[in-house]
Amino acid sequence: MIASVAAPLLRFDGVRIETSGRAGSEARTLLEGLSFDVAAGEFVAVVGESGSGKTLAARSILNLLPAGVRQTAGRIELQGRDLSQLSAPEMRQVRGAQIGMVFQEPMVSLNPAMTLERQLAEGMQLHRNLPSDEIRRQSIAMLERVRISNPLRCLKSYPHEFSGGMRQRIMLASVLLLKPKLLIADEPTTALDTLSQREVLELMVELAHDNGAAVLLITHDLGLVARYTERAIVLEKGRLMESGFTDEILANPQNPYTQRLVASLPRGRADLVPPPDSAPTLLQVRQACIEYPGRPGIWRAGVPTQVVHGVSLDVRAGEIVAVVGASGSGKSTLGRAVLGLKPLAAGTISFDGIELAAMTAAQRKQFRRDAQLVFQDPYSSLDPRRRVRDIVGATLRHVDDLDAAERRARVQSILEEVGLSSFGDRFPHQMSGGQRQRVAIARAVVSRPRLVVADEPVSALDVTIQQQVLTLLQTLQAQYGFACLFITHDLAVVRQIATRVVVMSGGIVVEEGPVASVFAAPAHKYTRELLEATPSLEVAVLPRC
Amino acid sequence: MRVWLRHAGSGAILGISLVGALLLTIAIGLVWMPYNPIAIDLAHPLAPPALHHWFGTDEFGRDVLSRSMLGARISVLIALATVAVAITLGTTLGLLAGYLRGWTDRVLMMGTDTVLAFPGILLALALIAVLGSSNGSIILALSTAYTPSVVRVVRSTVLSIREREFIEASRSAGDSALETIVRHVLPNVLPPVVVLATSLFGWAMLSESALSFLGVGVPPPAPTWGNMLSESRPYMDIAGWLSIVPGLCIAGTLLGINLLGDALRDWLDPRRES
Amino acid sequence: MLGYICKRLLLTLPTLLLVAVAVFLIIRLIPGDPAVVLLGEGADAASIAGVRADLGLDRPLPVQFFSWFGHALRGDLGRSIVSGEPVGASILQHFGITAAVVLVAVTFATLIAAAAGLIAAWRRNTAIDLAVVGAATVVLAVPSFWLGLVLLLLFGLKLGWLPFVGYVPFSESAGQAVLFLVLPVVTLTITESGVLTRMMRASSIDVLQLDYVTHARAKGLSERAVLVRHVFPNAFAPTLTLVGLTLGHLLGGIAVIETVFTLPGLGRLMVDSVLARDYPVVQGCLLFTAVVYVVVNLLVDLCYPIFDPRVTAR
Repeated sequence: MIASVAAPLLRFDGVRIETSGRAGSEARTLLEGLSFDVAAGEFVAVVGESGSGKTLAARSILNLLPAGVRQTAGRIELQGRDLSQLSAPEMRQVRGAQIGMVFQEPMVSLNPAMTLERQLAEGMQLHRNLPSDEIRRQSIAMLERVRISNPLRCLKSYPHEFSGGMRQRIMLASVLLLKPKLLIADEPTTALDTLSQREVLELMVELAHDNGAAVLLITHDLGLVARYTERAIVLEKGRLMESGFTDEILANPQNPYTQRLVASLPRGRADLVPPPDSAPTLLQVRQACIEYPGRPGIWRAGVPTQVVHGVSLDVRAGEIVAVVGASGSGKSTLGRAVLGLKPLAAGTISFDGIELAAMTAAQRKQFRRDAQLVFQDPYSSLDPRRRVRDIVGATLRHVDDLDAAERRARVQSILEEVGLSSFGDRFPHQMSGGQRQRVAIARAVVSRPRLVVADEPVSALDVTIQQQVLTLLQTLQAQYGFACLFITHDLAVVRQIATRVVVMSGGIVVEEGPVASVFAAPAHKYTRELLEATPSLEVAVLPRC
Repeated sequence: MRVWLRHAGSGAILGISLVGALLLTIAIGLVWMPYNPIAIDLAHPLAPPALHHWFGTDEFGRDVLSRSMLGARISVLIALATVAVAITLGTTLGLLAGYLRGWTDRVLMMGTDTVLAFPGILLALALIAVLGSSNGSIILALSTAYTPSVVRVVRSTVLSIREREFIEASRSAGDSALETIVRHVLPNVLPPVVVLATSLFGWAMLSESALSFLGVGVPPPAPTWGNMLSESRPYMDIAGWLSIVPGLCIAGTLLGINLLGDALRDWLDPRRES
Repeated sequence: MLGYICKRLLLTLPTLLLVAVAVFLIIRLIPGDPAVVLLGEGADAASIAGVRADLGLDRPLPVQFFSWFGHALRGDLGRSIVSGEPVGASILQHFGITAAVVLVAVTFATLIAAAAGLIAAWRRNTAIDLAVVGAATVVLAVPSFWLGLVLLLLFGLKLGWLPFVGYVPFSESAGQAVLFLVLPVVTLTITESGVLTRMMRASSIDVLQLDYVTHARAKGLSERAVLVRHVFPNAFAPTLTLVGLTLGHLLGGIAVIETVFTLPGLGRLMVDSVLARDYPVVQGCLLFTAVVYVVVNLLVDLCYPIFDPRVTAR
């Protein structure tokens, strides 16, 4: 697997990418002096967080940079040919036929207004002169290869009729039909759930091997890098930090940034202690059923869909329980119901022994103080028109025994604890995603709740920021002793933060128990599949190729 | 403010200048006009623009400049009143429909769909037929025609805000529905409403001119640019300026308002939603 | 697909019903005896009594409504006070002229807007984009009646190239009829292309940033193919909705243009009947234009899936 000394398939040589700096603003350098090689048939990862320039590097290969961004120095060579010197028609020959690209968002990467048959055939019609029934035959064969059942129906359908994972597979089919020598995959599975992610990547690796194609995998997920690639380069803020064989980089990172990245991966902790047996049960969920009302037709009322079905779980005071599942498993809905934000169709939820549905107004008010929620999306959970102080202090408005001065003091002290002491006057749009999430946590913790429900609080954050926020949450929990219901899809995070885990799928609980035992010996098939599909550095790596 | 001016393109500057000129004219007109706008002077009919009469005179010898100034005031007042009524009523109904959903929403939507099925001018005509031709009836007619658009815009904004997590956060902190609407929904609905208000102002002025042009708007002898245009038609070949001046006034004002509205929208959007 | 059509059809029925109720009530809002209102002040007692019986004014209001509605469904909208002609026939005749001008103008305006908006978005922030946006902004500010007057002044009076007053029906002389319609059509085309262009440009800008456009380019497609096959259908869909709304409204509301060019169209009919207090005609026009608006929007909704297949799934 050593890169041959002969001309590599792809070579970056001192590439610099800048914004063009029109209308008074200066040109900013987005990528500086990037040099690396990809040999034929090799699998290389480009690793970085947001702002690292990895997507720009990928797009510059095919000269698909966004408006206002240009490559100003360096060469990008495909088998010795400088791609930046090609004329537009020559570049169009290269695109698709020599180099194929798969994109991140399956929802917008296929034209919603065109049938899949036409979209699959487009590239073929352009680059190969084949009769249409031959194109059709090959399209069907490729769709079968990516395990789409009923390829004939698929051809006649539109993209919106398929799920995200299926669309990515169709996209793979479309790109690999042209048998390119290099496949660029720009975060191809970030928007998919863990099981689909695995399916799509395994398929991609298989197909690339079949065709002898090299793969350039752009990602932020070190687990995927470990599992699927041979060599990797690490970018931070537009600069190359480290490059080399994947195993070596991950086991023994030389560069401080790479070291930080590897250290930020969620890992199990030996010091996670479950609460003592004497701790009282704080939250009791019994046979909870939650429905979404159906869409009413013209003649009949809507048929409701069951989102959560017969779920029971307990949370004791001071305990951190993780609820794990894919999107659509009902875990977020359950989280909302626990706080009384979604009504139950059947079953009961009790807090401190009192059923939510039976609470008096005074009890409800107390409950609102005692149970808080941290939301997933840092961009949508803060009112854009309010300052941070007002956002954090909102819960305290309903607390009677604090006067205005005490409230202000509390808000300031919690802001200090989350490391945002001077941010009180700012607006959300002036802060980064990680900072906003810290505000969200401050807001949840300021009223000294006894239960915090955290709904995927770190899923939308970069890896290094993720670790910061997780650590913050754990510190606050240790200090204030609140119980936590931590909802997530990421098993690695569960291992770091929780003592007990509840696994959900399709609205029911499939397994639950202490984290260590469930992960070591999963009883249910779904849990096993999830564990196998979760790439991480600690799980034994399955043999590749 | 300075930040905004630096970012504002030439369009915004032009818009401010035009609107500023309009406001200045109206302000001056409140205290002084070159001639009495309704005074008839049969000695000097259809005089072309000259030193005595900058914009010339019409068929009754009335000074076109003075009439334009008074017309500006009348048109702007009618448009302002229309916008005030439509925005207030429309925002309230839109908030209710968007936040409460259910039957309230469905009834309000059927109502707005019905009103929207009539072309604005025709609806205004019909209402004026019923109410008679006066400033008040014009305002009422135009407000009725425009309120449904406001309701729709506010409703769709509320629907998208409703799904944002900070609304859920407000409820989970213990706020009542009313507190949530007032503290969180309303401030976030205001920016699109402000932009809509500027567009609405432009449409209202245009509609009022159109109605006056048709002869069912502001009754003579009160001048508005619309009825001045209408009265200019018989004399078009000999007194072209009578047709040009009022039209230029309308076009200039509308251009200014549109440019201002665009600049306002650009200022409010990307800054707030990073 | 069939489900989508049926659903759309059924949804329009309540609106149509409400529209009819609204039209019915507007006339009842006029103070005074409706029969006198409908016949005019100078009518004699016998006619008044006859109309009262016709309208069943002593019967409860809902019954009156259904009787009127029933007549309307059969095409009987009463007779004009001024001319005595049946309202329905008069409306259709005037509508023909309005429709001719509107359909041609909106078609041209849509074609111009689709092309200009797409190209402006494609070449965003260049000279051509600024020119298109500038032109659209200016056009939006110019009132249609003033533009009509100016064009009339220029091409009709000063240059004498085109006739400008009145109308010659197609049945008499097609060539002449077309000449008379050129100026009104040009005026309306210019006026409507402003807002349509801006809409098309805005949605094209949005679409151009989406991944499937980059994907199409990454396949090696030429810019032309990308624009025509991938950008246009998706960007046009919102503009199509706007075209529908515009068409629906204009078919009833180009009163000002008809006034400027003295065309006997539907708008002019409405204005004249309002000024003359000819209430049966007012009522008939209102009902007719609202129905046309609803039908046009229905047709547009039915065409929408061509550009955005996702709507049938909802």
